[in-house]
Amino acid sequence: MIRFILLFIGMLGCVDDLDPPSRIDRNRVLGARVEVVGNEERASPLSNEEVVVRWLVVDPAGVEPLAWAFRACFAAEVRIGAPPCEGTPFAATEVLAPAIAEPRFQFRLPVTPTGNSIDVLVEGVICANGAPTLPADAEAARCEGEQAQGNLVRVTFIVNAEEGNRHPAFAGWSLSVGAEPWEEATPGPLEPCAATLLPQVAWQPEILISATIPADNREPTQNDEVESFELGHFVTAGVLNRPRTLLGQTDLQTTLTWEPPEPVGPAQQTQRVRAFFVLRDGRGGTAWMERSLCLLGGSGP
Amino acid sequence: MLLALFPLACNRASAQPFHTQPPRIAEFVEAQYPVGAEGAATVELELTIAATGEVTSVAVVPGDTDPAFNGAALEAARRLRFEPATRNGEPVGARIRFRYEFLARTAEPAAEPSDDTRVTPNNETPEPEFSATATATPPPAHVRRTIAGDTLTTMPGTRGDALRVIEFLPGVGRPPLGAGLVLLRGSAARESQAYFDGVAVPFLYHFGGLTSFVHSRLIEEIDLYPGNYAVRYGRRNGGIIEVASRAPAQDAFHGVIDVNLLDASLLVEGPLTDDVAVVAAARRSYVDFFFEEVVPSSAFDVVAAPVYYDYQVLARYEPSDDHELRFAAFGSSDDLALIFAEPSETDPAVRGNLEVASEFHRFAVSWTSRLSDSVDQEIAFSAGPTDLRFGLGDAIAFDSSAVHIQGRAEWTARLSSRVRLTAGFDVLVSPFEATYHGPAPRQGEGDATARNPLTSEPTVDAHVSGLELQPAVYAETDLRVAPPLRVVLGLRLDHYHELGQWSFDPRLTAIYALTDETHLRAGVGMFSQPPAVQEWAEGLGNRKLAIPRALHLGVGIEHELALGLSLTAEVFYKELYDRVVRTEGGVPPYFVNGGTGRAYGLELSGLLPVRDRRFFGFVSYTLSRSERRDGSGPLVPFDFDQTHILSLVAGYRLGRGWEIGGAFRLVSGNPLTPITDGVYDANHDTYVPIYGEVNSRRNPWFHRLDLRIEKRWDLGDVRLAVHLDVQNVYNATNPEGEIFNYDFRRSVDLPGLPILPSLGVRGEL
Repeated sequence: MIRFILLFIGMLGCVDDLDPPSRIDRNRVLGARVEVVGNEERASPLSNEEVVVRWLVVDPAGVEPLAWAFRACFAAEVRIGAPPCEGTPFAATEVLAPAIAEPRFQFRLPVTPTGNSIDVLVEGVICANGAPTLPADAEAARCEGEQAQGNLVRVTFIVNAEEGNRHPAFAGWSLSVGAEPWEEATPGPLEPCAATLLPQVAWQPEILISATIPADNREPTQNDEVESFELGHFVTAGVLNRPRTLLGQTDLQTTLTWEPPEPVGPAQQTQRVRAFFVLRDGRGGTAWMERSLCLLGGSGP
Repeated sequence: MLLALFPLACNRASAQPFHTQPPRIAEFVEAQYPVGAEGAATVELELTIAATGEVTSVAVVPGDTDPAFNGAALEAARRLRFEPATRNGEPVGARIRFRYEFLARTAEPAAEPSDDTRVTPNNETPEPEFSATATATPPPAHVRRTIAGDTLTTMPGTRGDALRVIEFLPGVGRPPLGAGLVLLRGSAARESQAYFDGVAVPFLYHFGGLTSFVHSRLIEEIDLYPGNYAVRYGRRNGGIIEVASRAPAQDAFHGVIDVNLLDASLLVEGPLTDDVAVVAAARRSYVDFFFEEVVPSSAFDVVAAPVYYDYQVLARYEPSDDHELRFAAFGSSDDLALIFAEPSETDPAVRGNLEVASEFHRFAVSWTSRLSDSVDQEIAFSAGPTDLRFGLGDAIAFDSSAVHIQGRAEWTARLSSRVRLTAGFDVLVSPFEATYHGPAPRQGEGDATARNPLTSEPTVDAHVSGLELQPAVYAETDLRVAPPLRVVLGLRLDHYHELGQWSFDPRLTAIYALTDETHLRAGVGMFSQPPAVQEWAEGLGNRKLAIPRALHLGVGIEHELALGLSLTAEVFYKELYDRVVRTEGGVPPYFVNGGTGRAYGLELSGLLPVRDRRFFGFVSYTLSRSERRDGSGPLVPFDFDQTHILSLVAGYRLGRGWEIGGAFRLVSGNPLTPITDGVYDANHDTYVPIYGEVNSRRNPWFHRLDLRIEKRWDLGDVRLAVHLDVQNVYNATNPEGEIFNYDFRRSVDLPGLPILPSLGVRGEL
């Protein structure tokens, strides 16, 4: 009963002192993508295949050196809580020296009886500016280092799933911010963004961000339906009106409201704001993309 | 016309350990022979006489008398004055039988008027002779705390809700956020059972704590058995709450209308015939009228604003002195449906609709009778449906229906002045059906994973149906070994048919009268309680569970001082065996009897009852510890372990209808399981909390001051009252837990209930 009281209070907006999940204000993990090596669009690996698990890690300050430690095992069948490893992990890796790189864990899946679907668990720790320690109890994983920031992570996926699945894609999606098209920007250093090709967005108390999804973007599923999506969205400054959007089978458009940070400097002050979109199909498929804009007349987080 | 008074005895109980004097007539009032009536008549009345000697209640004992004579007798009896009954020299209230005899008129020839004729009234009436026996019942064999009278509806901080008064008693824990949980001597709420006139009640409060299910002015008294209760009760390892209704008024029709900020209620009562009196009450909330104005539309769309109602209809039929039949119909309903405007930010499974609905109805009949001078019989039967529905988007759907059928037959025989034997049979039969979709059921207490996001939790689906069949037989012997020593030995045998298990529960209590005012009591007993349905039902639980058991021990002393002040002290110890706990990960067999626990403490209380004095007060203090152990794990505090519980209540009648009162509570904070971090679950874009040691931290102390002020006006037959009840007068924050960030790295306090004024208006006829 207490859980629902807490949720009810939270839904009423009675607690404003907690960090909004849509704002990236620390080193964070936003998603994981399991790919089959050599067939990166497939999200449903099979027994004995080589897979790579990639992690989307973002930082409000830009790109930070990362180190990590992972292991893979069969997930125990439980009804309560996150499933732990069943038996000894069959793969492990650790990168102890931080480097500017995307955390990845590549390994070969064990041979399992054909036709038997089984859950695989990948768990570990990703450290910014620190070195990882991953003991037998994954919840005790730590990052060593004075400036270290750590993220304990886990993802499970099905091997030999009954139904094959491909990762969703942002191909054909169109985004707009403040009614202006929002294209993918050329990556570059964090220069004064007014001099870049990023969308120049004048500060307003609320700015609309819209996404349009092509009608043929969804993969068909069993039961002659198409998949639904969950779209997570995050910004490095300001706050969005929600951290995720559920896109049903027929939803082709969605709009978010972004409250940018209050302008605290002169009007010509600019701030580069990064936004991340993570798309999940609820069947193990994941995709993500990044956008940036230049906020005019605003500064500070 | 000649009226005479006859002595009537009211002699139902057995030996009297106190020196008691019955009331004596101080001012006799002659009843007027009704105009138009004929013949002789005898009207027998039952009078309640206050400690001041005033007659506070008059009722006609059903008979064949012409109502005109009844009315005349009633009218006169109300004006009688008595010297009150006394106990140990102190005035006490008493109830007696009183009889008016109306003699037949004889016609006399009219005197011929003449200048010499004078009419001389005959003022010679015989000196009224009256005697009555008032009996004081001996102290109860088992620990029983009783709340009765005005205390039920005038306690500050309760908004006039009688059941809330329980929380001020020693040994009763404070539920968080005003929830309707009754926590007795460190037991979980589920381990105690409430009864209304002997009928088990599934939900004590509307919406889990808003207001109680029964009209407070229907209640005569509430008896709380915090532990070590008699063999008459069973199937619970904690305590018993027995809510007893009062008799409907038989003198005339009366009504009460009560209006406050949450709901309005109506109560009417009166005699249907000379033998039958009825009281009916109904209440409905009107929060739904303004709910949408209060709840922001940015959070919810309101499908069905919260609404509750309850009703009670009670009838009493006394065909003779030896028989009493009671009929009752009562029920309660809660309903709420909302749609979340947006999914929860921290738990995306919390979206869509929220639906909460609960409803129960009961019909009950009981027959108590005196089979002979030494044998009493009670037969009772009740039945009714209980429905419960809860839905939360696609994450949780629960729908259950059950019919509860309860029966009891009990006989009490006074074999001698020293020996009383009670034997009985009671049965609970409950066919049920339920469907469930959602996270796997947890154990009832000490399970921190209940805070895991629903999104990350595996779900289970179950459809269960079955029959709970729980017959029991019991016997108790009450033996006065020697005048100061009384021993009560009870045996109870329960069968839990759905699990194929038996439970044999012996219980022993000894009461020793050190003096007429001071009694020692010691008790020991075994208790048992069947697992909850979700712990043994197919697909959800383990049908091979053993019956959880408890051993209760207690030693106490009661002392009556002057002016009606009473003091009690009790030391208790409770051991819990075979507690049902879940398996690691919730894997088959899902639940096992792997838990133990204990609770122990000291309870102190002092009571200066309301009666007819200006000042009344109450103080209670409990020092206790309640702990649990799951499997081979460490001993940890119970979820609602409260080391110190202090309650201070005082009231004062200022006169001219004004009354003020205050209540202060100081309670140790409830334990908390800390959350140290969160693991990012990439499948669901949520965080799964990492818990510290179970219940290893505590909320800060809870402290609250409640004040109440009431003004009454007596306007002839109508009484009007207005009250203002303010909970948490100085708006103490009283954190009740923590609300966490999306990643469980930061938290803020979950605030307790703020200052809560409640204004109510009541009209009585």
